[in-house]
Amino acid sequence: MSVKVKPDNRQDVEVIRVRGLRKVFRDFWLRPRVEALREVDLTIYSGEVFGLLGPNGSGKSTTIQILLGLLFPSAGEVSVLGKPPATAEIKNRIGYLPEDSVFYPFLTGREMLDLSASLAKVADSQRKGRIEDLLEMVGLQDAGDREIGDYSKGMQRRIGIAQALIHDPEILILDEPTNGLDPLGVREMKDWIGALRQRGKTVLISSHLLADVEQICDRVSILYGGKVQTTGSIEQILARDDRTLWVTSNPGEDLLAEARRQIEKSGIEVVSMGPGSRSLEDKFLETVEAARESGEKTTGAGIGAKLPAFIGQSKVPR
Amino acid sequence: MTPFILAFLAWVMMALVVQVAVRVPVPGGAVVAISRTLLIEIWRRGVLPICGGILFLGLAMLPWILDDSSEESSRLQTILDYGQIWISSVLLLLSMWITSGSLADEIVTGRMRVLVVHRHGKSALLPGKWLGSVLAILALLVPATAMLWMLSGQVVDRSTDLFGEPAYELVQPQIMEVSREEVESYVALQKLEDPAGWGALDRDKAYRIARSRIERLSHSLVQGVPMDYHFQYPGGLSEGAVLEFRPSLGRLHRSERARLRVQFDGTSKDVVIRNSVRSQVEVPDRFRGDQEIVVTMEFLGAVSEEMRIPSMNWNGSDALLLRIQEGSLLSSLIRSQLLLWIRCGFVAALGLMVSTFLGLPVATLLVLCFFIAAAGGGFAGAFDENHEGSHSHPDPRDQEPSRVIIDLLAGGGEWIVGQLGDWNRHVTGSRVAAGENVKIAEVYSGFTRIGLIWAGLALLLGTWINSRKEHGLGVDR
Ligand SMILES: Nc1ncnc2c1ncn2[C@@H]1O[C@H](COP(=O)(O)OP(=O)(O)OP(=O)(O)O)[C@@H](O)[C@H]1O
Ligand SMILES: [Mg+2]
Repeated sequence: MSVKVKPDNRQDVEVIRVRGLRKVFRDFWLRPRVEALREVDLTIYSGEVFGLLGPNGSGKSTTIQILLGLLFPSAGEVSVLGKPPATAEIKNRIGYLPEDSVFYPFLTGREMLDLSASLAKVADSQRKGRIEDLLEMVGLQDAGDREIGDYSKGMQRRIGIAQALIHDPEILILDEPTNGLDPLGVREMKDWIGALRQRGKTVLISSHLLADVEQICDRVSILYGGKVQTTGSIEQILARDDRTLWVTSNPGEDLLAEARRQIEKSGIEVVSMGPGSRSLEDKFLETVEAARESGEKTTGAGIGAKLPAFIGQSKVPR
Repeated sequence: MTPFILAFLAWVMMALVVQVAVRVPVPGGAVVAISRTLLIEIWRRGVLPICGGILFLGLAMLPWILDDSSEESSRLQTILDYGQIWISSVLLLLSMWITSGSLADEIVTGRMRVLVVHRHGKSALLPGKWLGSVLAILALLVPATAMLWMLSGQVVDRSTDLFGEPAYELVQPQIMEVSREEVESYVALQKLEDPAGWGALDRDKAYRIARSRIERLSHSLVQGVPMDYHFQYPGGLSEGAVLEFRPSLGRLHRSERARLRVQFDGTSKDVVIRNSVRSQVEVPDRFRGDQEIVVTMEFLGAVSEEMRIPSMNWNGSDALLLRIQEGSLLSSLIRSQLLLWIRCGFVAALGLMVSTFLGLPVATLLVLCFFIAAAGGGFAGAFDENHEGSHSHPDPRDQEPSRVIIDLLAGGGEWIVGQLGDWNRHVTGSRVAAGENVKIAEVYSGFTRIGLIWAGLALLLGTWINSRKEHGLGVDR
């Protein structure tokens, strides 16, 4: 299980800063069509994992694409690593996983990574090693020579993660990274993000799968209707000062009844009680692991590995 | 070898070239990577294999359109002419479809995002696609040209010595071009003789009339009046040069004959001519190496006593020519195909530029419009004369704003027509088929004008548009 690490290596250096961001999509005749973002303020610090949450159409992807310089803001101030987005120098320090896996369907996984490496100007001498490391990391070594168009959705997602990491960026912007991944993949993704965090990378993820976000993010913002509704650390946001939760080993019928009586006597309400259960995620992982160990074959993704060594420790940008 | 085996071999050759280009690792930046991706795309999606198949099969069918009873040289001309037309139509269309199809796909699927987030993605996108398409066209053009050449060899039944087949340079006499000095002295003379009539004309009009009169005079031969024709050829005359002419004798029937005396510096020869029938006189060998040659011609009138023909005319730019051996048919064909490659490069750049802001169907339409306009531009260009001095007298009406705007528009239109004429001047296929030499200078001029200036501008413009565009979600355009 991925363990949530305290934000120990977070330093208060702003990596991404957004103030009063507004985005209006216009049609061909420049008439306003959709006001996707109204008033977005975000501050993301170096070395943290930041979650952008929100229901469908709340403007997560739009915000992300503005941060990448793919869309231009209609109003407001945006700076990434102290520069406006789309500045050439900062582009090589950012890795991006798009929301929908749009990669060349006719390229093989290896060719796709090679293309990304060329675009990001990875030195020829390092290229091959990095490609193999990343394929191993995402568990696609065996499928690396098949065309991406033949990949399953989750396999395409994995190749997407690999291409985002090929140039060892300082900032990773992952738009719904767990979208389409199997629970095993989801757990691997969480592990990779945790490992990236350990190496000092700043990670921005967007998602509406709250359980995933809860485990990996240091801080989150919740977007709705093109506005940031709440921002804060997970503990801050989730803490309730009017509830207490116990998890114990089985106390036995009698002790339980006794405890309940005691609690109710002092006028405190018992909101819920019941036998503990494991999560479906745990059960799923257990089953797949067992099948793997018994030597079942799959044409899908294999077991992923740890973050490769070339992903270096990031220094705090000044 | 049957044409179909040739077609198969040509296809295999194309496939090998593409595979090598795709597989051999070449160091290189973003441009090379994108162009290689384009090659992989059109290969694996079947564009190149299928279009190559169509191209080579079409060439293999060519021998069928030949008329077996016709002369060897006319069969050679037919196959070269139609072969080149086929190759150029397929390749020009293909270079547009490859580029705009690939770019449009990129935009529609939103795939471009993964490219342009990278530092060099945005600037390398169009050049990379352009390079890839130009390489793909080359991979088709080379086997197609080789195949056309071998087919031509089979048609003339002397494939071995087709390599020695010469090409020709056609030189027009200088008198056919009217110089400004001639016009000026003519006008001055007329003013002296007829101060009332000519003196009253305004300068532009006088020049225009003078020019057309001199042109008419210089193109006609009056019976009994010898006329000198100067041919200049800086390269020096080669062996076997001939004087070729096609006289016009008014409305005479072809069967009527007349006589023409042709004199080369002392040696003279009388030739029987017919209306609009081409005849030749060999240039004596002693002129070999000369850079200038003067031919004196005298029209001697009709052969039969009853007939009176006072004069004859040279009509059209090919009425009187010096035909000089220069280069070989093969080298001329290769240069012409190089020009085709350059034109394909421009069309590819145009397709890319247009597709940055238009969808594939509209982009296709626009480029097709260009083809049509370019074909028309050539014809219009044939009429445009150099009216030097026609703007030297400012007309007061020219100062009116409406006139200025109209003049500007007209000037712009003329400029565009002139530029389009450029395109046609570099369409050389039919000249090669007619045995004419395509000079290396023409390849250079095509390369600079169409390849560097036109294609370069289109690519720069496209890259600029692309750099200002949003590349958000796929549907965004
Ligand atoms: N290119 C576009 N043109 C017009 N409207 C757009 C465009 N892209 C996004 N929008 C609109 O902007 C709003 C926000 O979209 P966005 O994709 O940012 O949402 P999201 O939070 O990422 O949603 P999801 O969870 O579905 O991915 C939506 O109303 C959407 O319709
Ligand atoms: Mg989204």
